[in-house]
Amino acid sequence: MQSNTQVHNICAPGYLAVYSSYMQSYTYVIIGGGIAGTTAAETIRKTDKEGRIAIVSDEPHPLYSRVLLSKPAWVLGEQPFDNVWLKKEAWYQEQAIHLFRGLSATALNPDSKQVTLSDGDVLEYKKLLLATGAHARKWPVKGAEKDGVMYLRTVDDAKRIGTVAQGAPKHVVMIGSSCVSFEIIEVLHSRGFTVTEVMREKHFFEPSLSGEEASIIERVLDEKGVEVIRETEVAEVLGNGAVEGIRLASGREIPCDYILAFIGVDLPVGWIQSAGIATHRGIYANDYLETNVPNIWTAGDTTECWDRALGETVIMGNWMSARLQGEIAGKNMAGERVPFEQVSFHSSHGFGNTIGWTGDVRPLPDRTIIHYPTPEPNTYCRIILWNGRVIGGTTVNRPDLMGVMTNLIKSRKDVSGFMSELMRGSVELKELATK
Amino acid sequence: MANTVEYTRTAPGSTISKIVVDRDLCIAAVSCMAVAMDTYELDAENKIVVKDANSIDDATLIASAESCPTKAILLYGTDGSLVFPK
Repeated sequence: MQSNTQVHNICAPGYLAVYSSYMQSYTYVIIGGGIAGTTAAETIRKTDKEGRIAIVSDEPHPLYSRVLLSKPAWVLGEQPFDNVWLKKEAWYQEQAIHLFRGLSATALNPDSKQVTLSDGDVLEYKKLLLATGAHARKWPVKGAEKDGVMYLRTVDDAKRIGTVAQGAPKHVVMIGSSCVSFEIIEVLHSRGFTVTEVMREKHFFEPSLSGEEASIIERVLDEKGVEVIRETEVAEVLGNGAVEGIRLASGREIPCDYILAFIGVDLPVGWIQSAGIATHRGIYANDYLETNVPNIWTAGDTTECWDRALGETVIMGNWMSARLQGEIAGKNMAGERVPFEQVSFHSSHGFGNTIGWTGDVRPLPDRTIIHYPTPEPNTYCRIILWNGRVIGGTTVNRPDLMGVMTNLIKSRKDVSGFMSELMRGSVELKELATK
Repeated sequence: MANTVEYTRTAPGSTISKIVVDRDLCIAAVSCMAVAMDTYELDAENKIVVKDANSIDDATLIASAESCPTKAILLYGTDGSLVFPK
Protein backbone atom coordinates (compact mmCIF):
# COMPACT_ATOMS: atom_id res chain seq x y z
CA MET A 1 0.00 0.00 0.00
CA GLN A 2 1.45 3.34 -0.99
CA SER A 3 0.61 6.44 0.94
CA ASN A 4 0.16 10.01 -0.16
CA THR A 5 3.28 11.01 1.68
CA GLN A 6 6.25 11.51 -0.58
CA VAL A 7 9.58 10.40 0.82
CA HIS A 8 12.28 12.56 -0.65
CA ASN A 9 15.66 10.91 -0.89
CA ILE A 10 18.08 13.80 -1.11
CA CYS A 11 20.84 11.38 -2.09
CA ALA A 12 18.87 10.11 -5.07
CA PRO A 13 20.12 10.87 -8.59
CA GLY A 14 18.44 13.90 -10.03
CA TYR A 15 17.83 15.52 -6.68
CA LEU A 16 18.44 19.23 -6.60
CA ALA A 17 17.46 21.55 -3.82
CA VAL A 18 15.36 24.41 -5.16
CA TYR A 19 14.67 26.41 -2.03
CA SER A 20 11.96 24.46 -0.23
CA SER A 21 10.92 22.24 -3.14
CA TYR A 22 12.44 19.07 -4.50
CA MET A 23 13.32 17.99 -7.98
CA GLN A 24 13.12 14.46 -9.23
CA SER A 25 14.09 13.30 -12.70
CA TYR A 26 12.06 10.94 -14.84
CA THR A 27 12.34 9.75 -18.40
CA TYR A 28 8.58 9.94 -18.82
CA VAL A 29 6.23 12.14 -16.83
CA ILE A 30 2.52 11.58 -17.37
CA ILE A 31 0.07 14.14 -16.03
CA GLY A 32 -3.19 12.31 -15.39
CA GLY A 33 -3.84 8.89 -13.85
CA GLY A 34 -6.97 8.00 -15.80
CA ILE A 35 -7.34 5.49 -18.61
CA ALA A 36 -5.32 7.58 -21.12
CA GLY A 37 -2.37 8.25 -18.81
CA THR A 38 -2.24 4.78 -17.30
CA THR A 39 -2.51 3.05 -20.68
CA ALA A 40 0.33 5.25 -21.94
CA ALA A 41 2.51 4.25 -18.98
CA GLU A 42 1.67 0.58 -19.48
CA THR A 43 2.46 0.82 -23.20
CA ILE A 44 5.76 2.61 -22.63
CA ARG A 45 6.83 -0.02 -20.11
CA LYS A 46 6.27 -2.80 -22.65
CA THR A 47 8.98 -1.22 -24.82
CA ASP A 48 11.22 0.62 -22.39
CA LYS A 49 12.06 -1.57 -19.41
CA GLU A 50 14.55 0.85 -17.90
CA GLY A 51 13.11 4.37 -18.28
CA ARG A 52 11.80 6.05 -15.14
CA ILE A 53 8.04 6.59 -15.40
CA ALA A 54 5.92 8.85 -13.19
CA ILE A 55 2.17 9.35 -13.25
CA VAL A 56 0.77 12.41 -11.51
CA SER A 57 -2.87 11.97 -10.49
CA ASP A 58 -5.03 14.53 -8.74
CA GLU A 59 -7.02 11.69 -7.23
CA PRO A 60 -5.80 9.43 -4.39
CA HIS A 61 -6.75 6.20 -6.18
CA PRO A 62 -5.23 3.76 -8.65
CA LEU A 63 -6.87 3.51 -12.08
CA TYR A 64 -10.59 2.85 -11.94
CA SER A 65 -13.43 2.47 -14.42
CA ARG A 66 -15.12 5.80 -14.93
CA VAL A 67 -17.64 4.04 -17.18
CA LEU A 68 -18.92 1.97 -14.26
CA LEU A 69 -19.74 5.00 -12.12
CA SER A 70 -23.25 5.42 -13.52
CA LYS A 71 -24.15 1.76 -14.03
CA PRO A 72 -27.07 0.55 -11.88
CA ALA A 73 -25.65 -2.73 -10.55
CA TRP A 74 -22.51 -1.04 -9.28
CA VAL A 75 -24.10 2.19 -8.00
CA LEU A 76 -26.69 0.18 -6.05
CA GLY A 77 -24.11 -2.13 -4.52
CA GLU A 78 -25.40 -5.24 -6.30
CA GLN A 79 -21.86 -5.72 -7.59
CA PRO A 80 -18.79 -5.60 -5.36
CA PHE A 81 -17.54 -2.03 -5.00
CA ASP A 82 -14.03 -3.27 -5.82
CA ASN A 83 -15.12 -4.09 -9.38
CA VAL A 84 -14.38 -0.44 -10.10
CA TRP A 85 -10.60 -0.82 -9.76
CA LEU A 86 -8.81 -1.60 -13.02
CA LYS A 87 -5.29 -1.60 -11.57
CA LYS A 88 -4.25 -2.94 -8.22
CA GLU A 89 -1.86 -1.07 -5.96
CA ALA A 90 0.79 -3.70 -6.61
CA TRP A 91 0.65 -3.17 -10.38
CA TYR A 92 2.37 0.20 -10.15
CA GLN A 93 5.19 -1.29 -8.11
CA GLU A 94 5.54 -4.31 -10.40
CA GLN A 95 5.78 -2.02 -13.41
CA ALA A 96 8.13 0.40 -11.61
CA ILE A 97 5.71 3.25 -12.30
CA HIS A 98 5.71 5.90 -9.59
CA LEU A 99 2.19 7.17 -8.91
CA PHE A 100 2.06 10.63 -7.37
CA ARG A 101 -1.39 10.73 -5.78
CA GLY A 102 -3.60 13.62 -4.87
CA LEU A 103 -1.36 16.07 -6.68
CA SER A 104 -1.94 18.19 -9.75
CA ALA A 105 0.47 19.95 -12.06
CA THR A 106 0.43 23.71 -11.64
CA ALA A 107 3.13 24.92 -14.03
CA LEU A 108 5.14 23.70 -16.98
CA ASN A 109 8.44 24.99 -18.31
CA PRO A 110 9.16 23.33 -21.67
CA ASP A 111 12.61 24.98 -21.91
CA SER A 112 13.93 23.41 -18.73
CA LYS A 113 11.60 20.39 -19.17
CA GLN A 114 10.14 20.74 -15.71
CA VAL A 115 6.65 20.37 -14.29
CA THR A 116 5.77 21.91 -10.94
CA LEU A 117 3.30 20.04 -8.76
CA SER A 118 0.72 21.41 -6.36
CA ASP A 119 2.92 20.56 -3.36
CA GLY A 120 5.78 22.62 -4.81
CA ASP A 121 7.86 19.67 -5.95
CA VAL A 122 9.35 19.74 -9.43
CA LEU A 123 9.54 16.83 -11.86
CA GLU A 124 12.08 16.91 -14.64
CA TYR A 125 11.15 14.97 -17.77
CA LYS A 126 12.62 13.90 -21.04
CA LYS A 127 9.16 13.20 -22.48
CA LEU A 128 5.87 14.51 -21.16
CA LEU A 129 2.29 13.38 -21.68
CA LEU A 130 -0.62 15.69 -20.92
CA ALA A 131 -3.54 13.41 -20.10
CA THR A 132 -5.22 15.61 -17.54
CA GLY A 133 -8.77 14.56 -18.38
CA ALA A 134 -11.86 16.64 -17.85
CA HIS A 135 -13.39 17.94 -14.62
CA ALA A 136 -17.07 18.09 -13.78
CA ARG A 137 -18.31 21.58 -14.61
CA LYS A 138 -19.42 23.46 -11.52
CA TRP A 139 -23.01 24.56 -11.68
CA PRO A 140 -22.96 28.37 -11.80
CA VAL A 141 -26.29 28.93 -10.10
CA LYS A 142 -27.07 30.95 -6.98
CA GLY A 143 -27.07 28.59 -4.01
CA ALA A 144 -25.25 25.76 -5.82
CA GLU A 145 -22.80 25.48 -2.91
CA LYS A 146 -25.52 24.08 -0.61
CA ASP A 147 -25.28 20.58 0.83
CA GLY A 148 -27.08 18.16 -1.43
CA VAL A 149 -25.83 19.51 -4.77
CA MET A 150 -23.84 16.64 -6.24
CA TYR A 151 -21.67 16.03 -9.29
CA LEU A 152 -20.47 12.84 -10.91
CA ARG A 153 -16.98 12.59 -12.28
CA THR A 154 -14.86 10.68 -9.78
CA VAL A 155 -15.26 7.43 -7.86
CA ASP A 156 -15.66 9.49 -4.68
CA ASP A 157 -18.53 11.43 -6.30
CA ALA A 158 -20.09 8.11 -7.30
CA LYS A 159 -19.72 6.72 -3.79
CA ARG A 160 -21.71 9.68 -2.40
CA ILE A 161 -24.44 9.21 -5.01
CA GLY A 162 -24.50 5.47 -4.31
CA THR A 163 -25.02 6.13 -0.60
CA VAL A 164 -28.00 8.37 -1.40
CA ALA A 165 -29.42 5.91 -3.94
CA GLN A 166 -29.19 3.02 -1.49
CA GLY A 167 -30.95 5.04 1.22
CA ALA A 168 -34.58 5.99 1.71
CA PRO A 169 -36.32 7.29 -1.43
CA LYS A 170 -36.17 11.07 -1.79
CA HIS A 171 -36.96 13.69 -4.40
CA VAL A 172 -34.04 14.42 -6.73
CA VAL A 173 -33.80 17.13 -9.36
CA MET A 174 -31.52 16.15 -12.22
CA ILE A 175 -29.86 18.99 -14.13
CA GLY A 176 -28.65 18.27 -17.68
CA SER A 177 -29.51 15.71 -20.33
CA SER A 178 -26.38 13.64 -20.81
CA CYS A 179 -25.73 9.88 -20.82
CA VAL A 180 -24.91 10.03 -17.11
CA SER A 181 -28.19 11.84 -16.33
CA PHE A 182 -30.18 9.23 -18.24
CA GLU A 183 -28.46 6.32 -16.51
CA ILE A 184 -28.68 7.74 -12.99
CA ILE A 185 -32.39 8.54 -13.46
CA GLU A 186 -32.96 4.81 -13.96
CA VAL A 187 -30.87 4.01 -10.87
CA LEU A 188 -32.88 6.40 -8.69
CA HIS A 189 -36.25 5.44 -10.17
CA SER A 190 -35.56 1.76 -9.48
CA ARG A 191 -35.15 2.66 -5.79
CA GLY A 192 -38.46 4.52 -5.62
CA PHE A 193 -37.08 8.05 -5.88
CA THR A 194 -39.11 10.85 -7.41
CA VAL A 195 -37.00 12.39 -10.16
CA THR A 196 -37.55 15.69 -11.93
CA GLU A 197 -35.37 16.30 -14.97
CA VAL A 198 -34.54 19.94 -15.80
CA MET A 199 -32.70 20.74 -19.00
CA ARG A 200 -31.76 23.73 -21.13
CA GLU A 201 -32.13 21.65 -24.25
CA LYS A 202 -35.29 20.97 -26.28
CA HIS A 203 -34.95 17.23 -25.68
CA PHE A 204 -32.72 14.57 -24.18
CA PHE A 205 -29.25 14.28 -25.76
CA GLU A 206 -29.67 17.37 -27.95
CA PRO A 207 -27.83 17.93 -30.28
CA SER A 208 -26.36 14.45 -30.59
CA LEU A 209 -29.81 12.85 -31.02
CA SER A 210 -32.74 14.14 -33.05
CA GLY A 211 -36.06 14.99 -31.46
CA GLU A 212 -37.59 11.87 -33.03
CA GLU A 213 -34.93 9.63 -31.49
CA ALA A 214 -35.15 11.32 -28.10
CA SER A 215 -38.94 10.95 -28.09
CA ILE A 216 -38.49 7.17 -27.75
CA ILE A 217 -36.51 7.76 -24.55
CA GLU A 218 -38.69 10.54 -23.23
CA ARG A 219 -41.85 8.49 -23.72
CA VAL A 220 -40.39 5.89 -21.38
CA LEU A 221 -39.46 8.56 -18.83
CA ASP A 222 -43.01 9.89 -19.01
CA GLU A 223 -44.43 6.40 -18.44
CA LYS A 224 -42.17 6.00 -15.40
CA GLY A 225 -43.43 9.25 -13.89
CA VAL A 226 -40.25 11.27 -14.47
CA GLU A 227 -41.23 14.87 -15.18
CA VAL A 228 -39.03 16.37 -17.90
CA ILE A 229 -38.84 20.18 -17.88
CA ARG A 230 -37.26 21.38 -21.13
CA GLU A 231 -35.63 24.63 -22.29
CA THR A 232 -35.46 25.87 -18.74
CA GLU A 233 -32.87 27.62 -16.58
CA VAL A 234 -32.67 27.29 -12.82
CA ALA A 235 -32.65 30.68 -11.10
CA GLU A 236 -31.73 29.60 -7.58
CA VAL A 237 -31.19 26.68 -5.25
CA LEU A 238 -33.46 27.05 -2.22
CA GLY A 239 -32.67 26.09 1.36
CA ASN A 240 -30.69 27.11 4.42
CA GLY A 241 -27.38 25.33 4.17
CA ALA A 242 -28.92 22.20 2.70
CA VAL A 243 -30.92 21.88 -0.50
CA GLU A 244 -34.67 22.24 -0.03
CA GLY A 245 -35.66 22.92 -3.62
CA ILE A 246 -35.07 24.95 -6.75
CA ARG A 247 -36.66 28.00 -8.28
CA LEU A 248 -36.85 27.96 -12.06
CA ALA A 249 -36.42 31.09 -14.18
CA SER A 250 -40.19 30.92 -14.74
CA GLY A 251 -40.69 31.38 -10.99
CA ARG A 252 -41.94 27.84 -10.41
CA GLU A 253 -40.53 26.27 -7.27
CA ILE A 254 -39.83 22.54 -6.99
CA PRO A 255 -39.10 21.08 -3.56
CA CYS A 256 -36.34 18.47 -3.52
CA ASP A 257 -33.76 16.82 -1.26
CA TYR A 258 -30.87 16.51 -3.69
CA ILE A 259 -29.75 18.06 -6.95
CA LEU A 260 -27.53 16.13 -9.34
CA ALA A 261 -25.86 18.67 -11.64
CA PHE A 262 -24.49 16.82 -14.64
CA ILE A 263 -23.92 19.76 -16.95
CA GLY A 264 -20.81 18.72 -18.81
CA VAL A 265 -17.11 19.05 -18.25
CA ASP A 266 -14.39 21.67 -18.16
CA LEU A 267 -10.94 21.07 -19.55
CA PRO A 268 -8.35 22.25 -17.02
CA VAL A 269 -5.78 23.60 -19.45
CA GLY A 270 -4.89 27.05 -18.01
CA TRP A 271 -1.42 26.05 -16.80
CA ILE A 272 -0.84 24.27 -20.11
CA GLN A 273 -1.76 27.35 -22.15
CA SER A 274 0.58 29.46 -19.99
CA ALA A 275 3.45 27.20 -21.04
CA GLY A 276 2.90 27.97 -24.71
CA ILE A 277 1.08 24.76 -25.62
CA ALA A 278 -1.41 25.50 -28.40
CA THR A 279 -5.01 24.98 -27.35
CA HIS A 280 -8.41 25.60 -28.83
CA ARG A 281 -11.33 23.76 -27.24
CA GLY A 282 -8.75 21.19 -26.07
CA ILE A 283 -5.00 20.70 -26.37
CA TYR A 284 -4.07 20.77 -30.03
CA ALA A 285 -2.25 17.74 -31.39
CA ASN A 286 -1.40 16.29 -34.75
CA ASP A 287 -2.46 12.75 -35.63
CA TYR A 288 0.59 11.42 -33.79
CA LEU A 289 -0.75 13.12 -30.66
CA GLU A 290 2.22 15.48 -30.58
CA THR A 291 1.56 19.00 -29.30
CA ASN A 292 3.20 22.04 -30.87
CA VAL A 293 6.06 21.76 -28.33
CA PRO A 294 8.74 19.08 -28.87
CA ASN A 295 8.73 16.09 -26.50
CA ILE A 296 5.19 16.83 -25.26
CA TRP A 297 2.26 14.61 -26.26
CA THR A 298 -1.39 14.65 -25.28
CA ALA A 299 -4.07 11.95 -24.90
CA GLY A 300 -7.58 11.58 -23.55
CA ASP A 301 -10.50 13.91 -23.00
CA THR A 302 -8.46 17.12 -23.22
CA THR A 303 -6.99 16.20 -26.60
CA GLU A 304 -8.11 17.97 -29.75
CA CYS A 305 -6.28 16.05 -32.42
CA TRP A 306 -6.15 15.99 -36.17
CA ASP A 307 -8.63 13.58 -37.71
CA ARG A 308 -7.31 12.31 -41.02
CA ALA A 309 -10.72 11.19 -42.24
CA LEU A 310 -12.47 14.49 -41.52
CA GLY A 311 -9.58 16.84 -42.23
CA GLU A 312 -10.12 18.81 -39.03
CA THR A 313 -9.31 18.64 -35.33
CA VAL A 314 -11.77 16.84 -33.05
CA ILE A 315 -12.21 16.13 -29.35
CA MET A 316 -13.33 12.55 -28.79
CA GLY A 317 -14.23 12.67 -25.09
CA ASN A 318 -15.03 9.03 -24.43
CA TRP A 319 -13.42 6.09 -22.69
CA MET A 320 -12.62 4.08 -25.78
CA SER A 321 -10.82 6.93 -27.52
CA ALA A 322 -8.97 7.93 -24.36
CA ARG A 323 -7.66 4.37 -23.99
CA LEU A 324 -6.50 4.15 -27.59
CA GLN A 325 -4.96 7.62 -27.52
CA GLY A 326 -3.05 6.60 -24.39
CA GLU A 327 -1.76 3.53 -26.19
CA ILE A 328 -0.75 5.47 -29.31
CA ALA A 329 0.88 8.27 -27.32
CA GLY A 330 2.74 5.68 -25.23
CA LYS A 331 4.06 3.97 -28.36
CA ASN A 332 5.18 7.25 -29.87
CA MET A 333 6.83 8.41 -26.65
CA ALA A 334 8.73 5.12 -26.56
CA GLY A 335 10.10 5.70 -30.05
CA GLU A 336 7.53 4.42 -32.53
CA ARG A 337 5.63 6.64 -34.94
CA VAL A 338 2.04 5.51 -35.09
CA PRO A 339 -0.91 7.72 -36.09
CA PHE A 340 -4.13 7.83 -34.08
CA GLU A 341 -7.04 6.77 -36.26
CA GLN A 342 -10.32 5.58 -34.85
CA VAL A 343 -13.98 5.36 -35.59
CA SER A 344 -15.12 6.25 -32.12
CA PHE A 345 -18.32 4.92 -30.63
CA HIS A 346 -20.09 4.93 -27.31
CA SER A 347 -23.44 3.96 -25.92
CA SER A 348 -25.87 4.72 -23.12
CA HIS A 349 -28.41 2.46 -21.47
CA GLY A 350 -31.53 3.08 -19.43
CA PHE A 351 -34.97 1.60 -18.84
CA GLY A 352 -34.21 -1.18 -21.33
CA ASN A 353 -33.17 1.20 -24.10
CA THR A 354 -29.77 1.31 -25.76
CA ILE A 355 -28.60 4.41 -27.56
CA GLY A 356 -25.50 4.27 -29.72
CA TRP A 357 -23.34 6.96 -31.26
CA THR A 358 -20.85 5.93 -33.93
CA GLY A 359 -18.21 8.15 -35.53
CA ASP A 360 -18.75 11.90 -35.88
CA VAL A 361 -22.37 12.69 -35.03
CA ARG A 362 -22.15 16.48 -34.83
CA PRO A 363 -25.05 17.93 -36.84
CA LEU A 364 -22.93 20.60 -38.56
CA PRO A 365 -24.34 22.67 -41.45
CA ASP A 366 -22.33 20.82 -44.10
CA ARG A 367 -23.63 17.40 -43.04
CA THR A 368 -26.45 15.51 -44.70
CA ILE A 369 -28.54 13.54 -42.22
CA ILE A 370 -30.67 10.63 -43.39
CA HIS A 371 -33.28 8.73 -41.43
CA TYR A 372 -32.63 5.10 -42.29
CA PRO A 373 -35.94 3.33 -41.60
CA THR A 374 -35.92 0.42 -39.15
CA PRO A 375 -39.02 -1.77 -38.99
CA GLU A 376 -39.01 -2.61 -35.26
CA PRO A 377 -41.04 -0.45 -32.86
CA ASN A 378 -39.09 1.99 -30.66
CA THR A 379 -36.04 1.85 -32.88
CA TYR A 380 -34.38 4.57 -34.94
CA CYS A 381 -31.30 5.01 -37.07
CA ARG A 382 -29.75 8.13 -38.55
CA ILE A 383 -26.85 8.20 -40.96
CA ILE A 384 -24.65 11.30 -41.12
CA LEU A 385 -22.88 12.02 -44.39
CA TRP A 386 -20.20 14.50 -45.38
CA ASN A 387 -19.02 14.90 -48.97
CA GLY A 388 -20.96 11.78 -49.93
CA ARG A 389 -19.28 9.60 -47.30
CA VAL A 390 -20.80 8.16 -44.14
CA ILE A 391 -18.93 9.73 -41.20
CA GLY A 392 -21.29 8.95 -38.34
CA GLY A 393 -24.55 7.49 -37.21
CA THR A 394 -26.92 7.24 -34.27
CA THR A 395 -29.07 4.31 -33.27
CA VAL A 396 -31.84 3.76 -30.75
CA ASN A 397 -32.38 0.13 -29.78
CA ARG A 398 -30.44 -1.15 -32.78
CA PRO A 399 -26.95 -1.69 -31.31
CA ASP A 400 -26.26 -4.25 -34.02
CA LEU A 401 -26.11 -1.40 -36.54
CA MET A 402 -23.21 0.26 -34.71
CA GLY A 403 -20.70 -2.26 -35.96
CA VAL A 404 -22.13 -2.08 -39.46
CA MET A 405 -21.89 1.71 -39.33
CA THR A 406 -18.27 1.51 -38.21
CA ASN A 407 -17.38 -0.62 -41.22
CA LEU A 408 -19.21 1.78 -43.50
CA ILE A 409 -17.33 4.76 -42.06
CA LYS A 410 -14.00 2.94 -42.35
CA SER A 411 -14.71 2.05 -45.98
CA ARG A 412 -14.82 5.79 -46.86
CA LYS A 413 -17.10 4.78 -49.69
CA ASP A 414 -18.96 7.46 -51.62
CA VAL A 415 -22.59 6.48 -51.06
CA SER A 416 -24.13 9.54 -52.72
CA GLY A 417 -25.50 7.27 -55.45
CA PHE A 418 -27.59 5.37 -52.89
CA MET A 419 -29.37 8.25 -51.18
CA SER A 420 -32.90 7.27 -52.13
CA GLU A 421 -32.26 3.61 -51.23
CA LEU A 422 -30.94 4.69 -47.84
CA MET A 423 -33.96 6.90 -47.19
CA ARG A 424 -36.32 4.07 -48.14
CA GLY A 425 -34.27 1.51 -46.21
CA SER A 426 -34.18 -0.63 -49.32
CA VAL A 427 -30.44 -1.25 -49.12
CA GLU A 428 -28.80 -3.20 -46.30
CA LEU A 429 -26.17 -1.05 -44.56
CA LYS A 430 -24.04 -4.17 -44.21
CA GLU A 431 -23.94 -4.58 -47.96
CA LEU A 432 -23.43 -0.93 -48.79
CA ALA A 433 -19.77 -0.92 -47.80
CA THR A 434 -19.05 -3.55 -50.43
CA LYS A 435 -21.35 -2.32 -53.21
CA MET B 1 -21.80 -18.20 -9.35
CA ALA B 2 -20.67 -15.86 -12.01
CA ASN B 3 -22.83 -15.77 -15.09
CA THR B 4 -20.10 -16.62 -17.59
CA VAL B 5 -20.02 -18.02 -21.09
CA GLU B 6 -16.95 -19.77 -22.46
CA TYR B 7 -15.80 -19.79 -26.06
CA THR B 8 -13.11 -22.13 -27.35
CA ARG B 9 -10.41 -20.66 -29.53
CA THR B 10 -8.60 -22.89 -32.00
CA ALA B 11 -6.76 -20.35 -34.16
CA PRO B 12 -3.53 -21.94 -35.45
CA GLY B 13 -0.44 -20.75 -33.60
CA SER B 14 -2.44 -18.96 -30.90
CA THR B 15 -1.41 -19.25 -27.27
CA ILE B 16 -4.97 -18.38 -26.16
CA SER B 17 -7.42 -21.26 -26.12
CA LYS B 18 -10.44 -19.85 -24.30
CA ILE B 19 -12.39 -16.58 -24.16
CA VAL B 20 -14.73 -16.13 -21.21
CA VAL B 21 -17.36 -13.39 -21.08
CA ASP B 22 -18.74 -12.50 -17.64
CA ARG B 23 -22.28 -11.43 -18.51
CA ASP B 24 -22.88 -9.91 -15.08
CA LEU B 25 -19.97 -7.56 -15.59
CA CYS B 26 -20.70 -6.69 -19.23
CA ILE B 27 -22.35 -3.26 -19.52
CA ALA B 28 -22.36 -3.14 -23.33
CA ALA B 29 -19.80 -0.35 -23.45
CA VAL B 30 -18.85 -2.04 -26.75
CA SER B 31 -15.20 -1.03 -26.57
CA CYS B 32 -14.23 -4.65 -27.32
CA MET B 33 -16.25 -4.45 -30.52
CA ALA B 34 -14.35 -1.36 -31.50
CA VAL B 35 -11.06 -3.23 -31.21
CA ALA B 36 -12.28 -6.54 -32.67
CA MET B 37 -15.39 -5.99 -34.74
CA ASP B 38 -15.32 -9.49 -36.24
CA THR B 39 -14.99 -11.22 -32.88
CA TYR B 40 -17.82 -9.80 -30.78
CA GLU B 41 -21.43 -8.74 -31.17
CA LEU B 42 -24.25 -7.73 -28.85
CA ASP B 43 -27.06 -10.16 -28.24
CA ALA B 44 -30.72 -9.43 -27.53
CA GLU B 45 -29.97 -8.86 -23.83
CA ASN B 46 -27.34 -6.26 -24.73
CA LYS B 47 -24.50 -8.46 -23.61
CA ILE B 48 -21.37 -9.20 -25.58
CA VAL B 49 -21.16 -12.59 -27.23
CA VAL B 50 -18.27 -14.02 -29.21
CA LYS B 51 -19.33 -14.68 -32.78
CA ASP B 52 -15.93 -15.82 -34.06
CA ALA B 53 -13.26 -16.70 -31.51
CA ASN B 54 -10.64 -17.22 -34.22
CA SER B 55 -11.06 -14.07 -36.28
CA ILE B 56 -8.09 -12.11 -34.88
CA ASP B 57 -4.51 -12.53 -33.73
CA ASP B 58 -3.55 -12.87 -30.06
CA ALA B 59 -2.33 -9.28 -29.68
CA THR B 60 -5.62 -7.85 -30.96
CA LEU B 61 -7.62 -10.27 -28.82
CA ILE B 62 -5.71 -9.20 -25.71
CA ALA B 63 -6.18 -5.55 -26.68
CA SER B 64 -9.93 -6.12 -26.97
CA ALA B 65 -10.05 -7.61 -23.47
CA GLU B 66 -7.87 -4.81 -22.10
CA SER B 67 -10.22 -2.23 -23.58
CA CYS B 68 -13.18 -3.42 -21.49
CA PRO B 69 -13.95 -0.88 -18.75
CA THR B 70 -15.37 -3.59 -16.47
CA LYS B 71 -12.92 -6.44 -17.14
CA ALA B 72 -15.77 -8.61 -18.39
CA ILE B 73 -13.56 -10.51 -20.85
CA LEU B 74 -11.14 -13.13 -19.55
CA LEU B 75 -8.57 -14.92 -21.68
CA TYR B 76 -6.99 -18.27 -20.86
CA GLY B 77 -3.82 -19.72 -22.35
CA THR B 78 -3.40 -23.12 -23.95
CA ASP B 79 -1.82 -24.26 -20.66
CA GLY B 80 -4.97 -23.23 -18.77
CA SER B 81 -3.40 -20.16 -17.13
CA LEU B 82 -5.17 -16.82 -16.98
CA VAL B 83 -3.64 -14.54 -19.64
CA PHE B 84 -5.89 -11.54 -18.93
CA PRO B 85 -6.66 -9.91 -16.53
CA LYS B 86 -3.63 -10.43 -14.36
